[in-house]
Amino acid sequence: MKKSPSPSRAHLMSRIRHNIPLYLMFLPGAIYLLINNYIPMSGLIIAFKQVNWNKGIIASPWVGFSNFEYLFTTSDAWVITRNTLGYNIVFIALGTIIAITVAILLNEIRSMALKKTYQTVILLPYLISMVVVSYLVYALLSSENGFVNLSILEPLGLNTVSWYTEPKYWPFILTVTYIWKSFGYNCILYYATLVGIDRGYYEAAVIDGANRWQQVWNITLPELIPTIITLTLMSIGKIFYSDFGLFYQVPMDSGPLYDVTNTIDTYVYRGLIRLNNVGMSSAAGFYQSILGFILVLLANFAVRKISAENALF
Amino acid sequence: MKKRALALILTALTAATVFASCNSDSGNSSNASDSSTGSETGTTETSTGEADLREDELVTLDVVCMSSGKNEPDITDVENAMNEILEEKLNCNVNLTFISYANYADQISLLLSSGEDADLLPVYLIPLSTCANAGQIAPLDDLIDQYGQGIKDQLGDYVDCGRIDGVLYGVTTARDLANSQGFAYKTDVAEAVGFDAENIKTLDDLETELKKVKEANPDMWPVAVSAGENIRNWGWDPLGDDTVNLGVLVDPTDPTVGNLYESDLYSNLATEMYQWMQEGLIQADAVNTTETATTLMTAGTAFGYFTNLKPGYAEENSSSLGYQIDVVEILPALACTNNVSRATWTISSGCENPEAAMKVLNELYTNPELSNLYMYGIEGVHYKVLEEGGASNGQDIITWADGLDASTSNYAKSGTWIMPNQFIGDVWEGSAADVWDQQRTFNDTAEKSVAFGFTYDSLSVTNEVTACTNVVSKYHKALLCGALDPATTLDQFNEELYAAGLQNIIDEKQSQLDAWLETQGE
Repeated sequence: MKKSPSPSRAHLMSRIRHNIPLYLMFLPGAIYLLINNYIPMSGLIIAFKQVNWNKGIIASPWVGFSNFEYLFTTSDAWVITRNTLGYNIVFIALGTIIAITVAILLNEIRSMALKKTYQTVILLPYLISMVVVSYLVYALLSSENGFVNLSILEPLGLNTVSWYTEPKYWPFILTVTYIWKSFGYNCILYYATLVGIDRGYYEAAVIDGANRWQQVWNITLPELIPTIITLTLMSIGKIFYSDFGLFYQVPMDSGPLYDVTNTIDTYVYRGLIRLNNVGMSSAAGFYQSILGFILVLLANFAVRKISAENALF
Repeated sequence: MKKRALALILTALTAATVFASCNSDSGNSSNASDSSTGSETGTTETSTGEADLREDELVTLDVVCMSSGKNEPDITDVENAMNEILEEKLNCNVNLTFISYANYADQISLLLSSGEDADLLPVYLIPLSTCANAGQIAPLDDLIDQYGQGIKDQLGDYVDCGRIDGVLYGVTTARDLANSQGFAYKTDVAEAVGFDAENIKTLDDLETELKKVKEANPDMWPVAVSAGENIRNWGWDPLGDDTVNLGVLVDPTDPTVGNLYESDLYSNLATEMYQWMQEGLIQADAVNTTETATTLMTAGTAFGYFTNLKPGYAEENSSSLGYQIDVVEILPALACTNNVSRATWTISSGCENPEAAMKVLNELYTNPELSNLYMYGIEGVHYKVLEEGGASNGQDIITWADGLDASTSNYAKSGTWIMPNQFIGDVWEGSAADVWDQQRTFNDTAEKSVAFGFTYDSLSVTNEVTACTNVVSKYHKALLCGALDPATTLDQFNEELYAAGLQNIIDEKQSQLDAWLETQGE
């Protein structure tokens, strides 16, 4: 290339000129990415500073890793990592299974009107804000007026439960809430793939004497695999990011529940709000980024081993 | 090849933006220092001109304060009236903001961290030392010497309680600087059920009386909590940790720093509250409420709440709530440094014109007209004068303007104790004419903790404080709301605290306290 720069450069220029409209279309996205994802990265240095607003971030003294110490002197780091990862793994696994099941069921419905109704009903929770969801949950679980205590446990002669101070129920409550709210969206994605499957396969299968179950197992699922891999990989990329609304709003920031509701995001938020210490909350955020980065690399590596064409990079 | 080129370009771009943002940051800070040196020279000029305190150019300051949680639609009118006074005297303007109690700590943390939109504000619910160590608030020694003589005259020795490591960072508001602890409740309900305040000397007595309320009003909570906090303090000296209580004097007459959460005092208190919760005396789901107790009382679903008390508490709050409340004192008054430093007016370090801020603050502490505007709004619009010169400080006795009350006023007075200096202002109808003098006397005569005047610097144990604060936020409020059984959780709580390094904090506090006590003996 060094020996003959001009032809290839001319080629490059002509290609660029040729693709100007495409570059222009790419520009807004790139600028967005730069402003939102890359420029804030310079803030990572805060994690290694003892920030003094009088001096400004740059002039504040470097403190090495001492902002990270508090994370590891207690079990905090372990608890928030466990919660973030644990919940997300459950969400991904259960979410995928339920979304696919419902998509297949939807596909079996013959009446067009009913099909549309179900689709809408399933998707509706996805459109509700988490703050509203938190009050829906509160309406169910409030110890005074909650539906569960008042209309289920009491009439059955069971003891009422003070839901917001009993950590043991919350892994279940949060999972149900999350699945209820989010599976509709994934379900529509899978359903769109299902609709695209050539009906000819099914007709051939019916002629060969395959029953419904065999059709699902041998045609529907294999056709869905690329979608499953893409969606799962995208979720794994965000596995260290928790749904802030779900973990902060839905348990209503109740102290006794922290052991099962504290994720990295809520921890960072509380760190900044309650302790008024930017350095330490940045440290927790930094820790999250590093773990997330490693995990994305690992996941992609695994996918490439299994099926190279589906890997992201 | 092209991929590599693209990667190179991207890296270069990222690097460039990083440097660009660095540059702009350092540019800002140098600008800030320029402007401050600029105004310093400006002030030497004006101070030679003696009495003229006017700024050369009109300075607008953002003044943040706490209110009861209402919106104040008439805020601009009050602002304009205040600006008339300030512009003439100091060539300054103020831009008022009010934040509700439930959001106050969160919001000012963010305001102070961003360094914008707040020049003058009371630091409350966050330890002053945290803000000082983070450099979020400006040191005031030089400023107060130059422009704050009025504040010094008003507060006297109490000014020194705003010192961290010898440096002054905040000036306390003029209010009750000691607290007795007790219970406030609705008078009409109490009378209807025969709630006998005379009988109440201990928590057990209170429990007996509260049961009467519960029996007669099954739909009413005898005890309501505010934002998840039931009892802030029950007679210990928190030594600078107002809400977290890491290392306290359990007995304020004994200078031994100890772990509050291991003390009998705490375990008894938590046990009592747990029992009350079981008996239905405390609001259900108290831990996750974001309301204040008085909201529930106004709605008629609660009877009363625990609170710290001062002379005139019932009268002051009755007038802002719009219905009669009474109080019963259970623990006698105690003065700790905290009582003084818990609400202090500060100048944020993001303030571009600290001299002007100090001048305005001084004016707020000394100018009754300005102070009245800030606290009560505009005469004739928001309040009316009942008796001119009727208060013992020469000010008026006032009440709601015609046709208005606490819920309909567009600039409703709320806690005036967090305003700089209520002692120079009007007295609200219902309070004693000498209520401000009563509070001064109360401050001067209250029993003082052995550590009164001692402030503690947490800088060397920041990591431990952070870790312990996380632990405390998990248990403390819930325990005192009665939501957790102390028999099963208290040991675990303490275990986690020690694992998080509580002992280091206690040791550090003890050594700082011992050093301070020695200087006091000299």
